[in-house]
Amino acid sequence: MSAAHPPESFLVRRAAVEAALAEVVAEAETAAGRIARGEALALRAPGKRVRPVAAILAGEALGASREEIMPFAVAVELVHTASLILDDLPAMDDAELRRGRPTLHREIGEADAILVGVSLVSRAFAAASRAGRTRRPRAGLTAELVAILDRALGARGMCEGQAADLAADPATADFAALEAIHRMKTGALFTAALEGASRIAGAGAAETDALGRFGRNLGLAFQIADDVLDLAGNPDKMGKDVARDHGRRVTFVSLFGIEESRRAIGRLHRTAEEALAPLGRRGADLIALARYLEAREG
Amino acid sequence: MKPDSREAADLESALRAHGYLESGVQRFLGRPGRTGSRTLFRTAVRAGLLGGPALALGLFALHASGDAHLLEEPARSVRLGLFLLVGATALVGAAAFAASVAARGLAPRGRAFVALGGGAVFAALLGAAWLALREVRPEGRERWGPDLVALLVVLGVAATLALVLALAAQVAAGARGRVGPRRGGVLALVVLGLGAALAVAQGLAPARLEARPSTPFDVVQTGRRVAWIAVDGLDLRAFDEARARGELRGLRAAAERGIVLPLEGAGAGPPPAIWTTAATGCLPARHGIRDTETRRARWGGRGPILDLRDALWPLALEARTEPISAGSRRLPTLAEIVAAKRYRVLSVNAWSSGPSDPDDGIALVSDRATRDLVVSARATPPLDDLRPEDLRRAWVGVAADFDRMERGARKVAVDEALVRLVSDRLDGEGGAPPDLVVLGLTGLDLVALDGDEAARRAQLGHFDATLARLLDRLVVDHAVVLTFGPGFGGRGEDGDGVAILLGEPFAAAPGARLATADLGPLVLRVLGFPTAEDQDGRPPERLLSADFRERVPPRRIATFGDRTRRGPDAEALAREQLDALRTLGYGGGGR
Repeated sequence: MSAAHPPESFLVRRAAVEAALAEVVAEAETAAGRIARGEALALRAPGKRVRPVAAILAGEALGASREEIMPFAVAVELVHTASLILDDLPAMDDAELRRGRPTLHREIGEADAILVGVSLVSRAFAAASRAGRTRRPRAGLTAELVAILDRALGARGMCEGQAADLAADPATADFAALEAIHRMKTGALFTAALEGASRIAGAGAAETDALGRFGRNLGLAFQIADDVLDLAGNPDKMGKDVARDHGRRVTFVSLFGIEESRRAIGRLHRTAEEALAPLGRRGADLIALARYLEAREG
Repeated sequence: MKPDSREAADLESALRAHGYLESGVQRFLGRPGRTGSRTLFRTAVRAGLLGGPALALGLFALHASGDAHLLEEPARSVRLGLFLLVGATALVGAAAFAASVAARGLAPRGRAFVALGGGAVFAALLGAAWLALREVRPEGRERWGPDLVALLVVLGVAATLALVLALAAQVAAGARGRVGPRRGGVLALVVLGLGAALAVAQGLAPARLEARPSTPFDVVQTGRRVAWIAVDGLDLRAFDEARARGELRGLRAAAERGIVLPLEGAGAGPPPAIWTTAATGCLPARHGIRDTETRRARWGGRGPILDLRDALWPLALEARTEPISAGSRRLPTLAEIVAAKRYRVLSVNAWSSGPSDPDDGIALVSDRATRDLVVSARATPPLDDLRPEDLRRAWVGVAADFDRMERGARKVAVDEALVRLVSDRLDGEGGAPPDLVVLGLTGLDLVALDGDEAARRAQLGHFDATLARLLDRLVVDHAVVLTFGPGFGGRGEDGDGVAILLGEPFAAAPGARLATADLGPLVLRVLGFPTAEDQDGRPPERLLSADFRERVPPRRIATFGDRTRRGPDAEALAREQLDALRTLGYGGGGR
């Protein structure tokens, strides 16, 4: 298998995620309203679906079924989609392209885009609540999953990360500030996807810890890779504006240079893979996913 | 793109500082306070890493003190410590990896890492140990390098042991019965098995104590022969008291003819240690004789590991007490040094005077600490039939039962035989008299302890007459060095003994004192031999005549070397031999 192409295990799970999202879209379209149409538009945009697939692979590695993990995986993807919509707004990144298409606020207007984002978050929590209904239901699991999503999204997660990102001064920001931004803005949802999957699977402390370290290192590598691709990536493959952040916002590339950033990506990926050692062969599909992400060009 | 000035910062370091990029060691050691298994794991690592070096340092501290039975011979002690640790490591490691295979709680990467790393460490340690121990000298203290390497080897083994123990703890605490390949565990077992086999194979090899050869040297013909008579049981105060009572007239006459000196250190330890110090010119830490008994590891003199049980059961390591023998001594005595130059030597009843090897030219009549000598008094043959070769069998036995004898009648007879023997030898038996005579006499210490006044007088008289007869016979051809150690009856305040020097080339020197370690070098000097730099004693030039000093200038060589051969096989020594020594009051016995 070439690392530049998605592994079969990834493609299979991504197809399942797309099917589950299609169900969400179909359910939304029954409402026939402006927000529902905006939701469908956002969810139909092609995405890598890395987070939900990672959640499914992690859950399966720990003994859960794909069906048990899927609602939570969908919830994660809904939160991620909502975050992209909100990030692209003129008040924030003011992006024009997302996933190869015009950003949502350019399609349906800024106000509706904000409301679509809020609506997707609402659907995400609803999906997370359904994820607690497993074959082996455990008291408190739903609350745990909702709490995990809350931590990833709220004032200790993506929202705070985005706010810090917008407020950061490129002239004074340092590694610590940048790391905090990305840990909350990107890493938090990565980690939440894996943590939720391990909770659903009923994993032990050692395995949960291993997945946490995998997600932490992979999440940061993913963000540094975004910074590198933002400067040196192929716009067609990226599906979004390229080099927009350069000089305007602090990135790993602006702090450390592109070569050192690339080396760091490699080291973070190796660390992420090694973190899965306690899973043995069960971690093979997650490692394949990490290698695919490392080799991505967009 | 050209990054800004902050590019100089190290991204990798920053990542590590923020909890990313955990190293293998970090993962191996785990994070504090996360799970019970990691807590146990961490504790085991700390205990091992701290305890291992502490153990090693303790061993070497004992080594330095020289009192531990395992460490009387540094090279052997290093080997013992090393193989003890290697054996324990192999055992614990095998058990740990067997547990890991059974529990299958570790990832294959971790197992392979530890197995290969452990194997490499074992191989490196064994190689380093071999190289280090080859260089360790019997005295082991002159070169810090080999000892340092050996210390590092022991520390390394201890660290390996700690890691293996830590792995066992991790497996035991973290095993969850998860699926995992067995290859890592099997590989680890194979590697550890090879390590254990190497340890056993290395241990089975005979001890390679590479003895230093003597520095080549020539002997200057001085025209003098030397007789050294060593007597237990007299110090200056006792000597003066005896003279005041009109006793020891023969000895008094000898003193008036010769030079009387305090013999420093003669009472500073057990007689074997003292007389061996005198005979080698080196202190006990170097010649290795510390008492009448010595303790060896249970596997004796062939090497640290004799059989599989020794190799696989470190706790079986025990010290065995046995009488000292010539084989216990690391350095040559003056008798051996002189005999090696084809000089004729007569050694009678001297501590550690062996080996009994006619090829060396040493006519050994007895060695009080060898198994040939120490037998029960019951084996004493009829006095009338006593022959020189029987004397060595009878001597200690007779002395042991002295208190129960009829006024020392047997001792009188044995001494008569001794005088006859020496006289016969001095007559040359067809050749010239021996160039060096070393005689050991006992008896004065018995006088000091015995409350029987009649027996005391009889024995003093007998001793004095015997000594006078010996001196009369010896002074004809020999310069005589007569030494007295305080022995059991020593009443000297400072533990000094007495030395009396008779004949040419000795000269009086006011205020001169003689150290025990100077005796051997002094005798060698008179015989025209050089002094070795590695001897602790030096010949007091003031005690030699100006003519002699001019004719025979002092010379130095680096060393007379180490003894390369072992003496009598210590394995064969019987318990009754020890008992015989103890009846003399040595080795914890008492009268």
